[in-house]
Amino acid sequence: MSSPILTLRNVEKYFEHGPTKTFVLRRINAEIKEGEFVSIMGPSGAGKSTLLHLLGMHDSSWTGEYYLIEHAIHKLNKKDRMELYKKYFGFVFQSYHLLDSLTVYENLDIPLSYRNIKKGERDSIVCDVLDRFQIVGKKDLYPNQLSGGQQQLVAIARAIVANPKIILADEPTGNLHSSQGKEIMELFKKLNDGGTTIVQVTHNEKNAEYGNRVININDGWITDTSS
Amino acid sequence: MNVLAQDVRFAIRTLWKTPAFTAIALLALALGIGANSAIFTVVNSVLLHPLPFPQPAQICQIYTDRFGDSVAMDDRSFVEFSKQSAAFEHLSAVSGGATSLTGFGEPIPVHGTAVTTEFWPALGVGASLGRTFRKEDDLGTVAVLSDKLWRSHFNADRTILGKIVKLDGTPRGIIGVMPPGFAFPADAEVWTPLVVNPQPGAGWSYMVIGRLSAGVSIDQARAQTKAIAQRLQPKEPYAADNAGVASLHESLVGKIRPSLYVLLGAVGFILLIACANVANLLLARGAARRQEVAVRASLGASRMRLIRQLMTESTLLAVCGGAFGLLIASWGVSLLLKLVPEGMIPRLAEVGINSQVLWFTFLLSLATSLIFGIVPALQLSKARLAESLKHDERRIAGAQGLRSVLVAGEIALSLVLLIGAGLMIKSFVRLRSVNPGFNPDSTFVLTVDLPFNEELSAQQLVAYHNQVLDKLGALSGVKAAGAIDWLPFDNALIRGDFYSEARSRPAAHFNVTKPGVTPGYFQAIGIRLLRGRSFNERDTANSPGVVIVSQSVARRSWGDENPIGKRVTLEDHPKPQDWLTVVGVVDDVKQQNLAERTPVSAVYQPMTQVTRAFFLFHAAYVVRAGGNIAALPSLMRGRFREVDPNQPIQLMAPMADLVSATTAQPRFYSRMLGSFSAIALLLASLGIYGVMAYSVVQRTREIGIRVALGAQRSDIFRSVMLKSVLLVLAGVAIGLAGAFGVMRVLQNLLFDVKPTDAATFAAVSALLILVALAATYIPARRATSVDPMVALRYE
Repeated sequence: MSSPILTLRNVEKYFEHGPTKTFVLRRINAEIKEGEFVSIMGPSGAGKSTLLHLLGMHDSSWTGEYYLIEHAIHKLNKKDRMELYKKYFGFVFQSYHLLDSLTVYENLDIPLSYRNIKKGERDSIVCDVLDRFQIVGKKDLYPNQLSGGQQQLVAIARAIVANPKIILADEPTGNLHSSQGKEIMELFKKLNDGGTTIVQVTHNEKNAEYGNRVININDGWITDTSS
Repeated sequence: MNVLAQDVRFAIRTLWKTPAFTAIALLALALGIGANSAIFTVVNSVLLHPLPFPQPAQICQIYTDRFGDSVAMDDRSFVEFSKQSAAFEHLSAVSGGATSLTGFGEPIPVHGTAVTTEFWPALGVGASLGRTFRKEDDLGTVAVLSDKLWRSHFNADRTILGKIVKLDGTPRGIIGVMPPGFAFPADAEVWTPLVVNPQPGAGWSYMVIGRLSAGVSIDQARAQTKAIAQRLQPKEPYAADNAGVASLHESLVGKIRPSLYVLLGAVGFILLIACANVANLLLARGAARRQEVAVRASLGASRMRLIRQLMTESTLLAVCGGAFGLLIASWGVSLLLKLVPEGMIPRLAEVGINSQVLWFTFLLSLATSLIFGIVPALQLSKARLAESLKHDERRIAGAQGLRSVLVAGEIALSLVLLIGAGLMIKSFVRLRSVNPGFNPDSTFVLTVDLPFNEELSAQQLVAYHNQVLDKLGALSGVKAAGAIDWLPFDNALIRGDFYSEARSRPAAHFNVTKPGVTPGYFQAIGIRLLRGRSFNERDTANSPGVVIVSQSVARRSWGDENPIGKRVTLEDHPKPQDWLTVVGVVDDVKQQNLAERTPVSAVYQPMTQVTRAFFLFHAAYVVRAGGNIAALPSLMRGRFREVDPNQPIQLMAPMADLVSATTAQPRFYSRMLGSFSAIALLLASLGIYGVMAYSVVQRTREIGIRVALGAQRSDIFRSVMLKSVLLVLAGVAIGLAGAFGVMRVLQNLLFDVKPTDAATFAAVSALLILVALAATYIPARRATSVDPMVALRYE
């Protein structure tokens, strides 16, 4: 554990309704160090997912300062943010969001093709990941031919295929039964042990225990941070 | 390249997985692109493709006389121009006409053309077998055949050269056969030499063509032609104005150009409507694909990359639509060629799908993909990522506003097309209801072009015609039979001035047609006798000259006075015996088509008193039957053959068909625009249905809440219908405004209907609104059946 990889300073997000403002995130100050496994927790509507999407640069309408290592994200334009996103992040969704019309192999290939990696190199990376995740036998199947757990496995494989430094996961086990959820969390743990920084949103205390820190959030405020 | 292949692969898979969407989009695009390719095929071959001669831009038509739309050159001017004009390398006079070919089996009428020897170098063509004729030939004895005639009538006999055929009774040796496809002027099948030799007291008009001399521009040639024309007729103030030079291509196709552009515009509208429909489908599908696009973006796809992926799908759709469109075009062109009235569009024989049409279709497909694909692609690719990933697709506001704009646009375009079709149909109906001045029902016509023979006298020709009439009149069931030299609606009209004894020359532009008729003619064709008597057997060559005038002649010449007994002459310098007494007045009749604003006035002479034999070589025998005329043709042919077994029959048809043929052009336009607007209406109603059905799906939750709160089914029905009505009214308002501007292009195609005819505008708008409401009915009914329990599960 060393220097911060993600830093938020006084970050706020709100919606305007005429003269009034509805805050979703209030004065968020947080640091996440490289190699950490952080869980963001809180009740429904607290702003957890909003914070995660903000970290993942899916949302650009907020105020405050956001640093990714030495890059001041709040000063960058959309294109530069996208470049940094492609370099540093992988994202895992609660409902997997695999592309239905693509096979498992193609779902893993597509993030690499968006990064302009040559075909030969892509093939070797995808084969390696299929092997690591032990899903070689499923490479030609379409998402609707897989179970929920298998789909999330592929989604995680897709998130790490471009070798990101940070994985953001939005309730990654939310749609899975407990045994599948356990497998996924152990996979995250393994990735974290390998040096990948992981930030997950979860309601589940047990899942949070796989991490080494919890950020609690309520009504848009960070209420406490515990290790 | 690799990325492109990947995009194409994904696009194919995406389209394959949504077969209903793909099929509907392909159908709309195939119809739109196919209709455009079909009309472009005609436009390309007729208007854009150069004439099939060497250096076609150098070939011109030269004229010194202008008659309305027609231009020509008289024989004297032709001789002088041939001597004086340095602007042209070769000048040729061309004179077309029906010719009878005998000597090889059944006599047949052929399209004969007499041309001077310079015709061949002027066009730059030669024979494919044998040769064309030259000055050194004995010009009275040779002929050149078209490839078509050579194949159809002479079985492509390669030993045909030197064989003798009879053309209009004159034996001619065949010296050449032209290459396949050569048929100039239109439909010419045999060419014979023409010698222009002006005679005092006679005048001939020709089509004159020429090839520009090297280095001479068409403007220079035109200036020189006007100067020569003025020099030849120094006392005629309009000599230079009436003379001119036009490119031969323009002369041939200039008149049809506006009509073809109207059709091209109409199919352009259809394509735009199809594009709006497909764009609408893409926008609707976009809502369902929002998550997919957001996931792609979250995986690192830039907006440009997303747009490229979406545009690849659009392009693939459009190119496949274009391929199917080509099939539709090929079928459409064949259909079009069958529907086009004979002679309406020149160069039809050259019409066909070629590489230019393929390129046009390909480029049109690409342009089409851009038109319908870019807006949905931009819309979808800018979706807010976080919301798209978090929310259910039904909860994300779609591009409903944009879709409504597209549908309003479709309605507007459809309305313009429908109004165009409505105007054409109304014009056609009015035209068909015009009274031609005679009764074409139950009448049958047989026309002949007897071979010209200077030795035949008028009396001999009249005797021939009477002999035929006696035979035809004796057929059972025939109520009346008569003959006329130049029949109304038979493509030719002999017109000229006349003088009445009481007055000097009638008012300017009051010239008349001067037919020679037999006594039974008026009764046979059904022209009413208004005053006096008809001609009878006592009106002979030796009896005092008599005429029957049409009503407008009587009115304009003598006002309210009784015209019977007045005297007129058809000669410029009448001798005492040239004064003819009016013995009867008949109705005016339309002479060439039903659209004539004012009927051509007529001064009828008994055929027996026509002194110039020339006018009597052509004759039409008119037979009025008591009942069914179905059996008449074969009976008439048989009786005619009893009189003259070798004379080809030029035409044999019910008189009603001749009248109907003159409305073929407006009928063609009405059919074409009617079909196009029906397609447009179908596409627009599909568009309205799609938008309203999608809107109901989007509003399911809202409707469920309303029902749960106590809304009646009728309230829901009304609210959906109201939304549709507003959309349709907006489209109709835009369409009406557009139609007011656009319909002017139809001005010259309409008869007795203004381009801004309020009744048509109102009726067509009402029809469109009704169809649109019908298209909304199903979604509205579906909305009323929303179950609030089910709908609210979307929460």
